Amino acid sequence: MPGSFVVSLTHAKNDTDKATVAFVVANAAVASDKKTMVFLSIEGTRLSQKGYADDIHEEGFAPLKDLMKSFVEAGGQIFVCSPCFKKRKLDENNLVDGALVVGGAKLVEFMGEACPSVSY
Amino acid sequence: MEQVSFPQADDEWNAGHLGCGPLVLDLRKKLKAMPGGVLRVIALDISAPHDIPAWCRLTRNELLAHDPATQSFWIRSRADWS
Repeated sequence: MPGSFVVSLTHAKNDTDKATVAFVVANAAVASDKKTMVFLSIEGTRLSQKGYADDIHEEGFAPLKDLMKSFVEAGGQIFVCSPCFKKRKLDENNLVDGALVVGGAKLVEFMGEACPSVSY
Repeated sequence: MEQVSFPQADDEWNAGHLGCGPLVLDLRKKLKAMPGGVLRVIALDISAPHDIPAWCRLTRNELLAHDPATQSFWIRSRADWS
């Protein structure tokens, strides 16, 4: 069944369990033929930076860096909240593959009329 | 080298570093005040190249051109604002 799916993630190293599980679910969605996007906002925006996730490895899960890589390689998209990104003075020249810094209009357009989402 | 020409604008707005909600809310007000007209918007926010085209598609305002070099967008305001 085609359709879109959004995983909203507001955490990074402040809650590595949530950050990891969000990408596990995102991988499941993209593997299920959903047009899937992970929306990184608040602290989650830190995951947009290359190298940041390298040392996040929750017990019982694949390393977060690998989960993010496999998600993008499978066609998943990562949107990064622009105001949250700017507030944290993150580097637009150091984005992980597949990440786009966007504002609300891009998120609204992606979600369309009836898009399921899950938040972490 | 081919000369690139951009649309004639009826008005111009420098949005500076406005982004996300504030950018499109102000853009909406400006365009609503000039139905059918063409507005040149200069938007410096990192998200603008993704957001302004998306907002135009959502709201049926026609994006006529985008010049990344000057971070400018030419938008024709829709005629049927209510």
